[in-house]
Amino acid sequence: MRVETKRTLKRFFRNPSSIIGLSILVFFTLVAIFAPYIAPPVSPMDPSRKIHDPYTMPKISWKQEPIPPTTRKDAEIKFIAEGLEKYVRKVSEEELRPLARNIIEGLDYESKVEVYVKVSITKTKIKNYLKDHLDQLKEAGFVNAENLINSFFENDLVLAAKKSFEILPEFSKYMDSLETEIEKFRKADCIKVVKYGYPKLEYDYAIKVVKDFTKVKGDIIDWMIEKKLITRKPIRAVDYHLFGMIDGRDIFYGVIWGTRTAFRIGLIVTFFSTIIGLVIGSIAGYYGGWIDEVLMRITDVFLSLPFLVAAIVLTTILGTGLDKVMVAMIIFGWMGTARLIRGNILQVKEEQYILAAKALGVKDFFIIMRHVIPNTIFPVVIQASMRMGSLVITAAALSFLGLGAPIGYADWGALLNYSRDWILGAQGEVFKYWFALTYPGIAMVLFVLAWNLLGDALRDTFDPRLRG
Amino acid sequence: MNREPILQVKDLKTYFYTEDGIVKAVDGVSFELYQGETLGIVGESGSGKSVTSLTIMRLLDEKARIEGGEVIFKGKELLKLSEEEMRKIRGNDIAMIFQEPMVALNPVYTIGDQIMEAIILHQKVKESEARKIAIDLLRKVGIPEPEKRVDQYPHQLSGGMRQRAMIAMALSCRPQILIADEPTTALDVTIQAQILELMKELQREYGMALIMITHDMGVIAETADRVAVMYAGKVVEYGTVDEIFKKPKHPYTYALLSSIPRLDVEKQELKSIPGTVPDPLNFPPGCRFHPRCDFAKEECKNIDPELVEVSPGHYTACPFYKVLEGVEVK
Ligand SMILES: Nc1ncnc2c1ncn2[C@@H]1O[C@H](COP(=O)(O)OP(=O)(O)O)[C@@H](O)[C@H]1O
Ligand code: SF4
Ligand SMILES: [Mg+2]
Repeated sequence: MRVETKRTLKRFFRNPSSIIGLSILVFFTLVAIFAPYIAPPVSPMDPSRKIHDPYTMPKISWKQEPIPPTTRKDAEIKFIAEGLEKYVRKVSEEELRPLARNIIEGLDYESKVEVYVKVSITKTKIKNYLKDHLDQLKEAGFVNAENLINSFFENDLVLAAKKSFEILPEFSKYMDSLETEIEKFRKADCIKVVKYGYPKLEYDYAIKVVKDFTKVKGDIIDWMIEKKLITRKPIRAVDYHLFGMIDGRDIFYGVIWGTRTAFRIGLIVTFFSTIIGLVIGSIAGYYGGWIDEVLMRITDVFLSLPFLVAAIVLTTILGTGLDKVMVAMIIFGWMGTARLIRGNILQVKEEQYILAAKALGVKDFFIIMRHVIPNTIFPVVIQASMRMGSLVITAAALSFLGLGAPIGYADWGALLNYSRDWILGAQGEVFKYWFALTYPGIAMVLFVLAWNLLGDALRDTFDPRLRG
Repeated sequence: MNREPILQVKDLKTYFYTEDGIVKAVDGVSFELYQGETLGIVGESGSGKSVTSLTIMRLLDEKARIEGGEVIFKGKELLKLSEEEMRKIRGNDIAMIFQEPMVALNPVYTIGDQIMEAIILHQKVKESEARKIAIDLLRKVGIPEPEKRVDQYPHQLSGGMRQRAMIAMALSCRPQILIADEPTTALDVTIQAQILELMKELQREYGMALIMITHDMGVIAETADRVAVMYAGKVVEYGTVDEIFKKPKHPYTYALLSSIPRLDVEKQELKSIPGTVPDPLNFPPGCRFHPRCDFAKEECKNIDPELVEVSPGHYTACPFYKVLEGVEVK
């Protein structure tokens, strides 16, 4: 290695801001690379994963087509549920339709929807059920079953259910699972237990969405934060949802996979817009004359369009989506680089070593590549590294306008956007939903900061104009 | 001399179209350059010497337009060549070195890199081969420890060393013509002499023709065989160095000669030419030298003097050159 290079590298790695910036970026890079291990995506191929889902409702269901039960537990619950059916108020199809439509519209991919409807199970209903099965009970050896039933229901519902074990084992299993489900829901803030005179269980309606992955390309799935339940409310950390949930989705998953999104947006957009800017700016600056005039007027036109408006117009043509937003950011993001490089080239062009190289018959292309670019590129590199960070914020703004990442996409900006309704917390509890903003917010701030620090360090070390 | 000139410039005109108006930087320049000879172009700063050389090389910026004239190199009309053909001539046939060795080398590459660039480009040799050639060239231009210097950056070299490196670069493809635009102006006097000596030596060795551009009559006396004196975009006097120095036929040449500091005269008054070089946007009417000419007559304001041959090979653009006869150069 040349002495000069060594010295420059030494200077770079002595710079505190480069060390901090690089460390953060290395951390983010590792997170991005190992995202599938840190936050494993829910694989559609692995139905057993669904068992971990604490928000699955017992299957008392309305559905169009019977779906064969996938696990033993499901089958059992279903058996009981079918038995209970006539004691449970069935929600009519009319009631369900708008509900289902809301869900489907909120979904980010084509899906099959299975709707599980609210059950309110009261003592009376269970009592009636048992009464209807008195014969069965008596056959099983409970001679004075009627008294037994009445005595159970002096106490609360769950106890009654427990006692039912002796009478109808299946029923008790159902109640057990119901109890654990209720416990989980209670922890997660999404179940209301209301008491009217008699103890009465009442669920908020709960809807389970069964994704139909057949129509989705494999790699998209990983980018989506799986929707675990329908509630807009943030849910604080529970079980393995380390950072809590927002919009029914795991924030941790979103933050981890959002690292990949951030790098993807930053790298792709910076790379392409810098290349375009470099080409246009270099040609304009190097050749000058009418070429410069034409290219710079085009640049002015692009600059005069307000970025957001232009992006909106473009996405109406191209359609929405993160890739379209990236295209828009590239198309409307090269002008700064073009102007910067042009200015630098105009300056460098006056240098005699360019004239000297020309006088030696060096080809224009090599003059640009070997003499002009190396003496003008550093400000561009620095600008690019600063832009890496801010692009993530721009993309977030576009997602916020509904142009960018679809709902549920693992993207810090999208996560923050969901959280915006909960910034103020709950009544009397300002910080109740702190987690919804804090985790994606910290990730974003660190990411932007890291790139800016790196840019600063690069400038301090390499910019030839700052070199003594 | 009956030899065919290697380079012939005929009535060259290069104007700059600026916002302020037309700058007639070169407005009628003619000269010939012969194999192995040195042509000196001399004149005050701003007289159009550099623009003349850049016009020959076709390295002018986009504001400039070549309004007329011919540049004939070995029978080829350079001004009519395509850009690509011209590029092949640059460096290969005609090379150029510049005034400021401090800025004529790219700060981000080593000396070797920059010399090798030209060698690889024109001679199509491998990099290791080019490096050897570069080291040899550096040795030839008198740079000590060329094996070490070849890997150094321009800022690690002194001005004189850089100018030597520039010369090495220019000579890397053995050009037939070397244009040196004030190669020693930025250097210390002692180093100036060394560089001039080196250039003469190399010229002899390579058999090149040299165009030595300078504002310094002393440099001309040292190096040139033939001299073109330029004033305000025009060649005002043209002849062999002996003729020019001994029998100047133009008041401007006379004034330039008078301003050379002389070692043999004690207690001399350094005479500089009164007045300044005229604004090229706005040349005085008539003979452009008349506001500063010691011999100006009233009619000088109305004439447009042409170069006329006063003795074989000696031309002047002053119709009243006879006034200088018998006048001693002070
Ligand atoms: N690029 C340019 N644009 C406009 N005017 C120029 C340019 N280059 C040179 N000139 C003008 O041309 C005239 C001659 O310049 P030059 O050839 O550099 O003089 P010198 O004899 O000192 O080398 C000067 O008056 C200068 O102002
Ligand atoms: S023409 Fe007149 S002004 Fe011009 S140089 Fe001759 S004497 Fe001087
Ligand atoms: Mg000059």
